[in-house]
Amino acid sequence: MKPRAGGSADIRRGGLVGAEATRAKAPDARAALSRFAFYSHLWVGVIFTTALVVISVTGILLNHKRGLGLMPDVVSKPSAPFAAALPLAHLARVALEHASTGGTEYAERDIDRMDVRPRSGYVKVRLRNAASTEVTVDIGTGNVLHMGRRGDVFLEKLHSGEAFGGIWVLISDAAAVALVLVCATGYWLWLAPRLRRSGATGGGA
Amino acid sequence: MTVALMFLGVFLVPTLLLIVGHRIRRRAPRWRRMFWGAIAGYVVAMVVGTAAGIFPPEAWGPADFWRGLLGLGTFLLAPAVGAVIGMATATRRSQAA
Repeated sequence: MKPRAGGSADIRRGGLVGAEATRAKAPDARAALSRFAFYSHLWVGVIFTTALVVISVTGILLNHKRGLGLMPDVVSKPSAPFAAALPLAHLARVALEHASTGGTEYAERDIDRMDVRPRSGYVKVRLRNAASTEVTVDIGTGNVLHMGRRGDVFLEKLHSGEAFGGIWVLISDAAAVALVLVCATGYWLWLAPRLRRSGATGGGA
Repeated sequence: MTVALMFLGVFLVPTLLLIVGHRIRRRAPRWRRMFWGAIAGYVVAMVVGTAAGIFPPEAWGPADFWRGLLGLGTFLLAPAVGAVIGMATATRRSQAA
């Protein structure tokens, strides 16, 4: 579907003068906009297809990370008031000792973050390894509630482009802008023929 | 190297396909078959490459050969293979006709 530049062609032929030519400027601008919409829709759509496919797939997987088992869902109630919680250093040591039972020795520098959940009564200790292993420890008793990999960490990095380095984060941004542009131009390409038809008949679409 | 391969596969190949696809109906049948073969190859590459990309990192091998090949190489190789298949089938058809 290629937009036709009807208005501009009429003016170039010299058929319209004065007020008629002024009135013809609107369809001319509309034709130019349609041309821009068509080519930007085509080029931007094709160039960013792969990036948008990856962003969409990882986005869907992240939306369902619990259901897909990418993120451990530990159900727990606080075993003690938050004021009586064990010190963070102790909880980290418990988590590291438990993670080290798998064969690989972990130290404090291997901890990526500690996510304390006072309402659930536990702390999630995430390690900086390939699997993003996470150990869930009860903050009241120091018991290990769960240990497993966080599959969503890598997916998040892939989704944002962070997994490939700094420039891919900007490409991820560009892909988002491209998606908005493709949507907007798509609407215009759908709307423009209807506007032209309604203008020609002088009634509604 | 990896970044260059990704740029080529993810952005350059579809751009080239779009340029080549301009006025495709006026081109020779063999050219058209090559074009559609490359398009089909690129679609396959998108599926394979995305699947390889989302594979859990702890499952990667130390050399990382297959992941590199599937995640990066397919975006360049699959369209080329598709184009060759397209060209080959066009030749066979024209010989049969």
